[in-house]
Amino acid sequence: MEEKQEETKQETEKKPTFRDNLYGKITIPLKTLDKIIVGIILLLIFFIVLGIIL
Amino acid sequence: MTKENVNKEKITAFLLNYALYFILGLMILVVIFIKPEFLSVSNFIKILTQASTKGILALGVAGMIVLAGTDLSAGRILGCCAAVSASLVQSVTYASRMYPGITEDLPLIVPLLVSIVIAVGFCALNGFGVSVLKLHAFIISLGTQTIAYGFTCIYIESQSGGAQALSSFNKKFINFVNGSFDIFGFKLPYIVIYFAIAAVIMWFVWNKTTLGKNMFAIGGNMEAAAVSGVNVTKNIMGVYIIAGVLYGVAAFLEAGRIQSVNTTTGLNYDLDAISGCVIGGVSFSGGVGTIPGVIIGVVILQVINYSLYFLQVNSYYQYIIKGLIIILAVAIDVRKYLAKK
Repeated sequence: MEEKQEETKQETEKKPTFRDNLYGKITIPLKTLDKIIVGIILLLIFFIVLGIIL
Repeated sequence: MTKENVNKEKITAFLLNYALYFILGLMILVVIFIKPEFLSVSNFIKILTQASTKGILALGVAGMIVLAGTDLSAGRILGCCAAVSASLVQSVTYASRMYPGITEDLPLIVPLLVSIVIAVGFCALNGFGVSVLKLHAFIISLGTQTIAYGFTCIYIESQSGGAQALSSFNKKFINFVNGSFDIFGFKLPYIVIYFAIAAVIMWFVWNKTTLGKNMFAIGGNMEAAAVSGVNVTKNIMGVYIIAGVLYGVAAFLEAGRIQSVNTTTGLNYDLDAISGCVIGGVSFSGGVGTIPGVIIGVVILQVINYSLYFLQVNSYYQYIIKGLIIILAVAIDVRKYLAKK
């Protein structure tokens, strides 16, 4: 009985978390993601400025 | 790798991880620079007042996000409950009131309870879909959103005078929601106090109860929580029902705050509540989040709204800006995940 429980525990521990499921498939390098984030920041600033001007 | 490079990478990571806060801080500084009157206690109270109902809504939505789900129906549920509450608190001297049969003001507990019961009903439907039918929260809440909107339209249109906004509330209700305390010469609205009370209760639920601990366990890893003996279905239902109570309270207060309820009431409130949670550090991947984070997130979002209004940013651009803020917050969350891996 205890062995079975131990096996189930080990299996569960190996299972990916929801975070792994959600983001685990993202394989882009960190540096590329950094560039994307910088891009979004620039886009955000652009639209704030555009929103003020127009 | 040289020490200099390591330091440079650390600084870059720090700047990117906290980019959102830097941008928001910068934006507020720009507003203060352009219009120094922005920095006043009365303005801050105004922001808190506007953030109160959305804050209570966000406290409910945050629980669902911690469960690795979401709730797209929060705004429409609020609209539906606000319409019902509004119809029950209309002044008895108002000729076009929805229920002419009500000749004396109802005790405020009645519309409040009715609002809570309706909201809990909708949230229980969402919770049932997620916990028993194993549907994704996105799908079930999308369906509930449409149902709630349909009910709101039918209810508002069922008035004898047609689809007119529900307004002219009794004084007792207006004072309950919009009244204020005098503190050091400033008027602190009751609605802010209600928000604070809701936040304290939710902090207690999240941090000091079994339900709160189970919620984080389920959000972090549902299978592991189930193996550890956590009743997943019961706990998910619990989180949804608590959210329902919060939505009901928020709807009741929102009706009094805006003093006129129509079919567009609550539109996009879910977006604001979700954005507030994400800005406040509640992770979409589940299992991560704090009540102070949610409060800060909601207040920051309201400050953004107010700043954009102060800067006279075109309202259509405000949607684009808010959308980009959400994408940025998620991108930063992904970055933190990848960096950890």
